[in-house]
Amino acid sequence: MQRQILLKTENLSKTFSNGGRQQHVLKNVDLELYQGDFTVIMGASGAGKSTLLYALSGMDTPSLGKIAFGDKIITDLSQDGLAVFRRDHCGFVFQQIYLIDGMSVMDNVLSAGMLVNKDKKALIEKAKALFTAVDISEDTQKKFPTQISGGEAQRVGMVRALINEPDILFADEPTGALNSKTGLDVLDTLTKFNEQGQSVVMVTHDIRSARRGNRILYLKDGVILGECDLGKYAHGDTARHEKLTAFLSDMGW
Amino acid sequence: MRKSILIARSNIRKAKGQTAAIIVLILLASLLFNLWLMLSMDYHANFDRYHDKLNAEHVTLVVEQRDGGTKEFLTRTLDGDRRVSQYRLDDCMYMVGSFAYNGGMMNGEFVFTDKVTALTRTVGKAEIVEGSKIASGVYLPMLYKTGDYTVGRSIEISVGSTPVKYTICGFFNSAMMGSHNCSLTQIILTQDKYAELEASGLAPKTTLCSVRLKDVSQNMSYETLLKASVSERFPNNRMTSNCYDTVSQSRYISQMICSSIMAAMAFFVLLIALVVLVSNIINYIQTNMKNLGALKAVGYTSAQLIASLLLQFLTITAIAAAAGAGLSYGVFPAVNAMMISQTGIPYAMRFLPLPVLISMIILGGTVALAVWLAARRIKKIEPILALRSGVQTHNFKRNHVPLEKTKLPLNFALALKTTLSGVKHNITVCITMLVLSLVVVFSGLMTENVIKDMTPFLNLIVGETADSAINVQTEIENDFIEKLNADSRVEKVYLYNSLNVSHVGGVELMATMSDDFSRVNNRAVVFKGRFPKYDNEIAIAAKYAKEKHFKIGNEIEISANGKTEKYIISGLTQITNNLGKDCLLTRQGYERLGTLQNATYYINLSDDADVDAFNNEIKEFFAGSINATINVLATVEGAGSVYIDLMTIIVIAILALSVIIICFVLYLLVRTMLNNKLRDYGIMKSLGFTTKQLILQTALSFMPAMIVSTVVGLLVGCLVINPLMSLFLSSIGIVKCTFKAPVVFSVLAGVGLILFAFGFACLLSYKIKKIAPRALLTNE
Repeated sequence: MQRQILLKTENLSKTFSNGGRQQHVLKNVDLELYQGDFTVIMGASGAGKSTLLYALSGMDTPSLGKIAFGDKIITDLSQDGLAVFRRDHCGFVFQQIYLIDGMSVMDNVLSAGMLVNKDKKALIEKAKALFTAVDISEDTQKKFPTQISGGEAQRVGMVRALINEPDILFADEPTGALNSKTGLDVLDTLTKFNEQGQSVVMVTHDIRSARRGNRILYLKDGVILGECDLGKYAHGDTARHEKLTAFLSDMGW
Repeated sequence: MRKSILIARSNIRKAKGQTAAIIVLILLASLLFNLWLMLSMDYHANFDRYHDKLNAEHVTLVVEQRDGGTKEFLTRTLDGDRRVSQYRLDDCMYMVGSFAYNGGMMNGEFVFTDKVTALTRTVGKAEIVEGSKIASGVYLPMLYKTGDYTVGRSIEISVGSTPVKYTICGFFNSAMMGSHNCSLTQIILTQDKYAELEASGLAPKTTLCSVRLKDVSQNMSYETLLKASVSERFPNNRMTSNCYDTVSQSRYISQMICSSIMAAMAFFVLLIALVVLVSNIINYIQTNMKNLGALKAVGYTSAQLIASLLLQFLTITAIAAAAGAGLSYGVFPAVNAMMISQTGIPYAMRFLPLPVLISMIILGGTVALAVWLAARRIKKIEPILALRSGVQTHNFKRNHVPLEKTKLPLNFALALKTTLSGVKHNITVCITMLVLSLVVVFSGLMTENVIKDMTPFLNLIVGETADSAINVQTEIENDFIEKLNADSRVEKVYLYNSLNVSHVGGVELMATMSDDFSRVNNRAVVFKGRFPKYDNEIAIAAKYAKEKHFKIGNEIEISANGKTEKYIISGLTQITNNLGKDCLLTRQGYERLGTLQNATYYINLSDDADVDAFNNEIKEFFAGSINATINVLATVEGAGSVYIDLMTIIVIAILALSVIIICFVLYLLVRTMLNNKLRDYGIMKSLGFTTKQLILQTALSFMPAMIVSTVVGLLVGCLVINPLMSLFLSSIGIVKCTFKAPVVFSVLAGVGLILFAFGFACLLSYKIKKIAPRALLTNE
């Protein structure tokens, strides 16, 4: 079956200037991301994983190359154009969560939702449904970010990321700041949404997190060294884990 | 101490923008404080220096020599008085007159003296400021050196009602007779012109008596006493006078107004600077909680940290105050140029250490107090905060504007959230806008009541105005009134004549009399009680009544022409003509003290009537019996243009100052907000908020406090401005101001200020464009 391409990059490169020294973080990356995939980007520290994620999501502009979202070339967009692209098509889950402290949990979600949705009543219903789905109680919805736990905050972050039904959900080390139990809950939630059709692109260096993806990309020194398809293995299947371990071993992990 | 210096230096380096903005606000405050102190401490004192330099008199009396023996009488009186230290008697001529001035007419009581006498008098001499080789002509007081009058040009002076043309030989200064504000205006003629005028008989021969007293404070009472004794001995001789207190006050009305405005503005700007400074320190403590905790953890004491803030802001204050003081010397010549058109006395600027010192103490003291009060909370910071990465337990009591419930559009709702959670910013904005609203109302008051239409100001300050005033000899009064009543151009004619009388046990009062006060134009002159109606009634100046504890219904003894009578106070007046020392009497009331020899009638003419042509016609018709004709409006325009110019400059200056203050306050607030909300802006950008939306939210977040405080400020301003102005003008005799509240101006200016503030806040917030969401995610 022909899979629908969501994002496509051509010769994507990113160079940082560090004290006058040019550092090529991404080098001519050609990549296609597909609808419904749970794509995991792995690699050692400094491989360019996060840089690739920010470039793909329109958070950052590449130095060279092009990123296409359908017919739209997002690398041609202005900063405000990129902001509109992000609000209309992307959702974000960050390692540091990044909720706005001065807003209640519900307002954190609605402030993102109201950017896109005109029907506020429907939006509130959707937010409440998502909160229920991630097990955030009504009491917690009224609290402020500093009054809830890290796990709760990350789940709120996921609700905020999903409120506008994004085409792609970008997750940057979503379990990095959580303990193993709450990390597991977050991964379960991501998996659940992916199984419902949500496309996910996740950066991680954690093998347990990576196992949730159906497509694993391995990045080394700014280039995609290889990729692994885990889609044919069921979650929990030991073969899935072995396949991934073998792939990572081949990549020099 | 060294450690505190290091921290202070580091703080200043880290917050260069904020430091610069606070410097500008303190510099403005320092500039205004210095200008105020220079004006109030030295500028007025310049009159005393000038007075001493010319060995000027404390009491001036000019007495007609109609009945002989005045000189001898004055010599005897003054020689035998131990209060007198020195006096001088000279011949002169005295007559009311006028000349064109400042686009109107200058009407005054002219004392014509010959040049040699004027320059050589041992008491009250004049000083030539600008001379020439022109041998025949006139020397004018320096005040009248305008574009029209320069050396070599000619001037037409009406002596009584006869015009006489002179060539201007130069300009002079006289402490007690150097301007129309002195009651008496000296005109110096060269010997030949003096002889010509004397021979023409246009101005009667008069004795000019200048008296210096041992105790200056007795000048006012001595003037009354001397005049009373002369009028008792020579009841038929016309006389007029002035004294040191009256002249020194009336020549410095503009200085008093300007100095009061400077003082008010200086305190307003200081208040705003302190509010901004306190807000800045509280914000500094909140954003640097981690650093402060770390410093405490390594052994810094709270006192050292507070000392570093004190050092930081006192250094800034010292630099800004010194710069402001320096700038005041750059600005002062412009202020002086503005003042001199009213004082007429040259002022040589010099360095004055006391104003600098006082403003330094005021600024330093208030800044130190504000810093200490704001920085005290450092004592509560515990070192453990450093380990918690500066995280404080937030105490969110309320979720302002819950998005779930609000009907506001998203950007407005988020802006309102920011507004309601930013108490410090709101307080700063509110205090700034409340103060500036009051300034706007004051500017509006001056614009609508002085600059645009001077009538309300004139009604309050001058009292009665009409189109024409004609002084006639009493023998022709009936014919005069009959003639005027038959003239279709005349709408109203009524007696409105001023003469001096004495309050027994008090001072000389300017008494204005009318045959029927119900006919006067300005009914607001008597603001409490009523005009006198019967011959035993009097209305007196409220300021004088307050000084002497008189109330309506009290009895007061008035003397003139050697007679004393009792009157019942029927009302209280407020006219500044004689700086609050005046009264109103009916004609019959005055005639209990003596008869009128001349009478001034005020005349209202139809709108299309030519006042000058009318005056000339009447003058010709009653040839020889008309002493003087005055085009009142032209006269008022001439004298009033000085105040209009002064007020225009003041209004422009304080409105410009208001705009500058708003700019710097907003700069500080927006900058602080951008720093504090950097993380939030990054998050919101990553979620898809555009730069425009965030700029709009930021600028809008200041608007509720700004709009509410401006509206409240304007409303309160409109309500309190008249009482405030009354307080402000109380020294010149105004007790109850009745200016029109400048509603339209205030609304327009208020809207203008708010729109400007919104636009400027948008401009300042444009920095949001540079905030990249990636920076947030990579912790750059």
